[in-house]
Amino acid sequence: MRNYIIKRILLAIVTIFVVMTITFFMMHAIPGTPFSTGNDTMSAESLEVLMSRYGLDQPLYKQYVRYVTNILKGDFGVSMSNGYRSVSDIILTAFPVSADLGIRALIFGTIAGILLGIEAALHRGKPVDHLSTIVAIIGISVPSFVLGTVFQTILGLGFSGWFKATFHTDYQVFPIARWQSFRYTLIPSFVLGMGTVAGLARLMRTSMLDVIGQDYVKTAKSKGISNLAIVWKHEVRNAMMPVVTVLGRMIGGVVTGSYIIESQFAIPGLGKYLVNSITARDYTMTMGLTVFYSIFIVGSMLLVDLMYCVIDPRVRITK
Amino acid sequence: MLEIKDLKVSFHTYSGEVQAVRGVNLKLEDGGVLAVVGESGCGKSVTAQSVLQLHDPTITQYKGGEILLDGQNLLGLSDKQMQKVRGKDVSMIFQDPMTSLNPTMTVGNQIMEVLLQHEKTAEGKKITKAQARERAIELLKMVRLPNAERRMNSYPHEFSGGQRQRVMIAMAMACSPRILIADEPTTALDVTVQAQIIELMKEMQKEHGTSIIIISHDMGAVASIAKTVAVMYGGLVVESGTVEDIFYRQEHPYTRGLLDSVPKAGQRKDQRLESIEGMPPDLVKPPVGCPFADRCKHCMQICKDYLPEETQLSESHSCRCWLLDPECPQPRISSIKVEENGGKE
Repeated sequence: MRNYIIKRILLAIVTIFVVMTITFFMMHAIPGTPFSTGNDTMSAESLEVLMSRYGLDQPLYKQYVRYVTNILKGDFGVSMSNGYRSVSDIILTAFPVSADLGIRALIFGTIAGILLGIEAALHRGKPVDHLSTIVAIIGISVPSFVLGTVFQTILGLGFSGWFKATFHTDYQVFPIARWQSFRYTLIPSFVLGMGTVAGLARLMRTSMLDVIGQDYVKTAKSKGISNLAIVWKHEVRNAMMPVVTVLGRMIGGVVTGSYIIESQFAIPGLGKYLVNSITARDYTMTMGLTVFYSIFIVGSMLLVDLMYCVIDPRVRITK
Repeated sequence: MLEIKDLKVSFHTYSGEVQAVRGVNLKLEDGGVLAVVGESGCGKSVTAQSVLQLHDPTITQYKGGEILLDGQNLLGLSDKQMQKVRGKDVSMIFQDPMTSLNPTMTVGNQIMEVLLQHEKTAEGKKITKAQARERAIELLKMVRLPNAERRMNSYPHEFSGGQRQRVMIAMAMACSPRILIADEPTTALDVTVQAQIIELMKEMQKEHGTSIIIISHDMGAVASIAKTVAVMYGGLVVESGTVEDIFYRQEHPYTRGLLDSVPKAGQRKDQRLESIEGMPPDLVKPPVGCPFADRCKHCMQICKDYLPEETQLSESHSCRCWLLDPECPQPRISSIKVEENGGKE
């Protein structure tokens, strides 16, 4: 068991290293530099000064070696497009906001998705089942910015407007932008979590239907166990296996991939830095975020693998 | 004590109504061992599982009849009331011990679960976890599982097939049920392990006075344990009686066929086992006449047109076959000598 964990951690480190290397060379393969992206007004001399200042006039392999050495020292460098702020500083201020949004969305999405899937499976062909299908189709096929707009309109403007008019107050029940207190988090977390709800509800439903037909469920019934206990103790736990697998990928996706929601709701998260850094050829920022994200995603997958051992005794490796 | 009267069970499936059980009568005495035999799809498992109503309620319809446990009709009970019967008065062992234990729950917890559900202390309170654990260890020792204390924390995949079936028996015997239903308990096991499991069940029956219903398609496997036998075919009991009635005085051609298909001691290697040609009838459209008519060597016109009534041959022995009709010109099965190549010693 200990060897297994050590092996998995080593493998995770190698993965991150590979991601870092590929991104580094691909980033430099894109035409342009951080200081010349097309419509430049800078003189050739100033450009040269800047390039040598950041070491960009050096051969690529030297830049690479220097970059890796710095990363190993924990230095992500200085962002080239955000007023000389260090990359670590930007990540440290913006990531907590992204993570906050992501975790809220994930908690909502996981709980709602799993419960909806269980209900749908237990009442197959009944209204709850159809509801879960509708939710899943909406969650998967409607883009989040459309959902976001819809809820901003209905709840943020419609309901809150009605509330203000009826109670003669300035209190905004569902604010449609910024990230300040709990009520600000409601709509964006809900919209971001919808994808998770949809995916998990479908998966959990299928998985539950499979488990419900298993012999051990019949055994449990033959023991006189109440229906509720059968569902929770025998069915749900066994049905969770495939869900846990997908959850690893979802954690990474939800926490890091909220650029659209963040810009739509004016939330000061990491998303905009990643997109902007790529268009601005901000090498250090892109690289820093890539390494950071890959550590995060690889880490969450590692966590899932270890969680498997807790949930499924058959995966536990003896020794 | 357990009496099944004219039980009719149907499943509503996409291909139509499957009349799996079409009027079955069975009787299990206190301390008795009833074997229900027949090939796949003849309704024996459905009958047995009906006692505990384990079928998917959304597609199953109990169309008629009664299942009387000490005079109380189990089919009339609510699901809540049935939960008190399941595992407590009547418990069950299933065919495949590989799949009938929950893979993510320790064996100890699975046994304790049934104890915590039903067992009460002398004061009528629910027993504690510690008491349940102690009792579960006793049960594992009773089914002769080595290292019972340590094995409590093992998961099903750490056991062999025979050991898992022992665990199933321990679980089924946990609340000292009055009736144990074993649905093909040895089918998925090696032959040597089969004998051990049958031995263990015999022992449970003797020491605890549990009545047993054992379901099997293998006449040989049940011969040593059963006291009475019911042969099922096409959703009906075609012949029933004591072990002696069925093994030595059988009257139904199907019973004879089943017995002929059991390998005999002293049979030569180059002799093929007897088989019954054909397939059991489709119970979506059950035949109007005798269900066995299509495959029967002694089939007459009347067999195809009318279902034979049960003929009471003795107090214990009854059979559904037109050959037993007084006007039948053909000889009875019991008067036909068993063919030489499949002969008994």
